[in-house]
Amino acid sequence: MSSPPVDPLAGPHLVAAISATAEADPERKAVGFVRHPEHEGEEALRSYAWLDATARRVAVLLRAAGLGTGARVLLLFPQSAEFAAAYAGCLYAGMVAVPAPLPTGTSLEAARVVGIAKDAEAGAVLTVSETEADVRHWAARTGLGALPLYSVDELPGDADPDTWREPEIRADTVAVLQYTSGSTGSPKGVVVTHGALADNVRSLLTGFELGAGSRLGGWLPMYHDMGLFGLLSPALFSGGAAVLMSGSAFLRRPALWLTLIDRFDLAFSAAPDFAYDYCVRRVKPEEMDRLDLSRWRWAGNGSEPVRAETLRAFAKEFAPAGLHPNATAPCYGLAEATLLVSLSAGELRTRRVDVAELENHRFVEAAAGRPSREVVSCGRPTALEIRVVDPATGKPVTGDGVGEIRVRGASTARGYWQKPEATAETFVMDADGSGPWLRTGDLGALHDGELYVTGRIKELLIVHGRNLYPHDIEHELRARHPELGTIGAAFSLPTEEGEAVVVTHEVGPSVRPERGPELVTALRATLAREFGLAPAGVVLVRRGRIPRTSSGKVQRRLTARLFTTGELAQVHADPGAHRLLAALREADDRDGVLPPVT
Amino acid sequence: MSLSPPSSPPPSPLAPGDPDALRQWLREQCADCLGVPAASLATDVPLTDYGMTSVTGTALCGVVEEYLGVECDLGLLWQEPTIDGLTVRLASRTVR
Repeated sequence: MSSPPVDPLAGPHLVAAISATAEADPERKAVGFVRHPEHEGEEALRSYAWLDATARRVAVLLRAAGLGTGARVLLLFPQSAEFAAAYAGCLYAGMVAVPAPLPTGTSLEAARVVGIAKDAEAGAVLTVSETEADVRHWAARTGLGALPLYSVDELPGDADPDTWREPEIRADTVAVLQYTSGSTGSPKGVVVTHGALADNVRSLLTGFELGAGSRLGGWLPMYHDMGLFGLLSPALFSGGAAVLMSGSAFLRRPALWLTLIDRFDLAFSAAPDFAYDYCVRRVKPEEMDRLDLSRWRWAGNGSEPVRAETLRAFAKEFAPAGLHPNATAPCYGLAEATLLVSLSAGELRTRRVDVAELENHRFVEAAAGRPSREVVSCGRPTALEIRVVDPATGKPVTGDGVGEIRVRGASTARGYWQKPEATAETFVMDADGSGPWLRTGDLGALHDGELYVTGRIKELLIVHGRNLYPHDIEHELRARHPELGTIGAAFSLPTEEGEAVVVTHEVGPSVRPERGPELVTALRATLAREFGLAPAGVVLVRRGRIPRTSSGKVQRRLTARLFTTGELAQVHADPGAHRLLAALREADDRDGVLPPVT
Repeated sequence: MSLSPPSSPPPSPLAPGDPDALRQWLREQCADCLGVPAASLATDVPLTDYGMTSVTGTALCGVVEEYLGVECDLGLLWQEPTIDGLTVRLASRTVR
């Protein structure tokens, strides 16, 4: 490998970083999509010369299509190198990249992308020839057919890269709208500026001691904040390469992810907790024999609760393949902070805390024989400042207090795109007049300067690293199953095996209990297909049994409490719900406490 | 979708044209993907009742494609939600 051409930490923004590398070392590898990690090599990767020239052409084309500085461009891509060129092209044009999933999956996903396109007021769509027909069909069907649409691998020949001029990019110039927040009906785009992006990417590179020319990669999709800001952007910022594969290939054969890391010398890859557990359970011994993971420095674990058992099992399982015992790195972050807030690089640190104390918002080591929960340290904040406050008063908690995690610093987002109210609710001044602080909606504690995430205030469900909104789930069930009543409540409960999702819904008066099993089967099919969700339990209740506020708002937390205490009157609870209740009751009998509803 | 062939192809687990063997093999693979004992799965109950999702379903598709050499995707799993239904559909695909 040739010597690194640029100091990755010196560049002011991603456009400068990419063009500097392209100029200094044009043949250097930048990005690639690998279909068969076992059979492909360096030829699968495109160069910085290709990335820079394609980004220039995209920028010239978008300008020629009449889009101005700051216009929003929707990126609808399969996992591909072309995504990187489209992303860079938007930034080269001084425009705003809006990555979103391909709207070719479930009808819900297609509807969500329409919501994103409209909320962002997208002025153009970029894709690749492989998916162009599907995207055009979707756009025509949903009233977006008039938007200019281009395939990045088949750009018109008159887009001359030499006519590109670098736009003015300042720290507060908007780079990306990241739509991981908000329900389907009300998507919220996190406004990520060039300054925030550069700052967050730098904190990842320095936090993991990844120098110039680093290789990062994995299967996370690029419309996911951890894919875009945790893999692709830092790779390109450092003058290194992002090596990508598809999520579906990973799910089919998880060993392919590890093969990708081995064969392409990735120093860093990241995934949600479930992926590490999945590897432990599904990588076969003969596949492991062929792996050398000794050069994999960091296995970032984030975007859903990090479990100590997963980290230990993964480290143990893959130690024979050369995995360094301290390679697993728990991280905490969220799109509203661009991505990374804190990381733990080094030995796994956990605390076993008292469950009853935790319910009283105190983070106290459990005495022997007391019911306890092991919580993983997500390490120290990188470049951001963290504070834990009482969510009711906004005042910092004292001593061993648990409270809402709040974050401030250069990489916190500017707010939500054209949503002043939601922005004001989430980015707040604290009781002492300091701020703005990002309210993460997560609960946690700081202990010896390290962050321990213990739960959530927000009603968000996190499944396989994806954010699911209870409202979306309840709404979709009603839309597809007319036997249901008007109110449902989906919530999660902490258990010894992680979070258990329970879906409860009212049924109409004509639904007799003996019809329960059949209806639950139908509901479970909808949940699996539309949300990838297999709830621990499904419970049907009579009308009026799910508590609401006087203004009619569903009280999900109270419903969860009624469920755990057995007070939720049921028409039918499925076997999973009975098992969960029995387990909770057993813990109650044994320890005298119910797990906290957080 | 093309798949990278396993470097040492495993012996075919099934005698061709034996639906009972295919059903039993599928039941074991489903159980393995779901992390439950095979005996706990009834072959006429939708797999989503046992917690099958797009994640575990994609894993099952991977195993089916790798070992049976037939195409299998989530669309098929949603159309044929039971092991019995899948057996019939996959048996017809393995007949050449």
